[in-house]
Amino acid sequence: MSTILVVDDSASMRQMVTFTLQSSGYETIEGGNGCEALKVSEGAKIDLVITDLNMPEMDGITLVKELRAKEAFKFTPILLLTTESQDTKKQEGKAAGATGWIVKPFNPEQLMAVVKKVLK
Amino acid sequence: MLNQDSETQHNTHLDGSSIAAIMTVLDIVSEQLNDIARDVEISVMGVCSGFQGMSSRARTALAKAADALDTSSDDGGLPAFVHRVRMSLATMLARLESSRDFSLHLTEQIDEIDERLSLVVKLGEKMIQISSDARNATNQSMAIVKRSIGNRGDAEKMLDSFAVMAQASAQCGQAICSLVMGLRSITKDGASRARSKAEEDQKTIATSENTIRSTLDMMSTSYEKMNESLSSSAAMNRQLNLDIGQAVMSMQFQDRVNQRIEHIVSTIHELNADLRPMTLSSDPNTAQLITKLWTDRLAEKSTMSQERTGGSSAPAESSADSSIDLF
Repeated sequence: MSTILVVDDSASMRQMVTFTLQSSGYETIEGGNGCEALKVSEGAKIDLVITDLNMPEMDGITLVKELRAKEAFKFTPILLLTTESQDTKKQEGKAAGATGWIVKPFNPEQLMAVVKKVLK
Repeated sequence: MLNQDSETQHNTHLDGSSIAAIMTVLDIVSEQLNDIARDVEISVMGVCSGFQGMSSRARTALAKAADALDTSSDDGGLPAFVHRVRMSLATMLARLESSRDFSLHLTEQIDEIDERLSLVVKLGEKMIQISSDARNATNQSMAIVKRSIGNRGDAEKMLDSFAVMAQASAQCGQAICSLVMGLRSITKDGASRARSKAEEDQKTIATSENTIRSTLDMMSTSYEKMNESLSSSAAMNRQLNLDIGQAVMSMQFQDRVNQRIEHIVSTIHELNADLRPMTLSSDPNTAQLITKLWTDRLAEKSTMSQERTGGSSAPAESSADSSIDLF
């Protein structure tokens, strides 16, 4: 079963995302911000990254860029899960190398459909 | 507003002391907003954990039920078991029926033997009758011989020996008859036993067949009902997951609320930073007095100790003792 890295500074959001993913049988790893995410992803086999955009220490866009710079994450799907819906931000995410953009609040079923699609 | 309760209530312009007091109050309010955000997050996490537990338990219960009714296992589960028992039952019944048929066939053969033995008895009886007739004829012959020759002679001796032979023949016939009668009694007993054995077998077959078939039918019905129940539970579980999904979606508004609070708090801090230059000429005592007026007002509106102390009212940290008062 695939392992998904969930990054969000809100513990409750992390809990909701991991709960949704674990209910469908996925393994999860958590990070409270971009820096933590980089730390926990070291050496771990991660199949998908779902990250928030606005976080302290390191935001989601920077995290995407940092991950894409690593050989292990060159082709790993990265989804941005954020309350941000501005098109300019979306374009920024796309340019950084994000695979998709999901606006919060997410519908668990829709999230799972996207996860399955990008993990194919 | 602020000046209504202060000595400078008629002033329309805020002085440095008032601004310093407002800054302090804004700090307190922003701290309280942060506390509220933390409280909401903790409570949402608690609700989410509850849903997580419910979902997990529902999934486990469903998995266990599905496991109990698993038809994809190597042995094929209950339906395959019932099928195997039905096959074994059919084989067993066929053998019992064959045994019963053999008993009936044996009975028929014994009956046939008995019929033939009855013919032998009739032959024996005829033989006895013929011997008796021969003896009578011999006796009459002896009387004729006596009347004609007067004394015993060779002819009389010969007739005596005929009589003895006839007697022996009759005795022999009687012996054969009684032997055959004995045999008939034995065969009749055997036939009767074989017949009652066949009847018992027939009853046993019927009873066993009915019992086993009823049991298998019951098992099949129970299995079907359990399967229906499992399908219904699976449907309920799917609905539960949808309901939980809906709840998860709604709970995310907490994240939006927290972000908005964070933005407001950030704006308050920026506002404070902008106001700071205006407090350079403030009188600390007046500022303190105005601050006190505001904090008193806040305390008056407060209903929870956490509001007054600025602490978090995380549900997990509340003790049962402090939340119950008996009067």
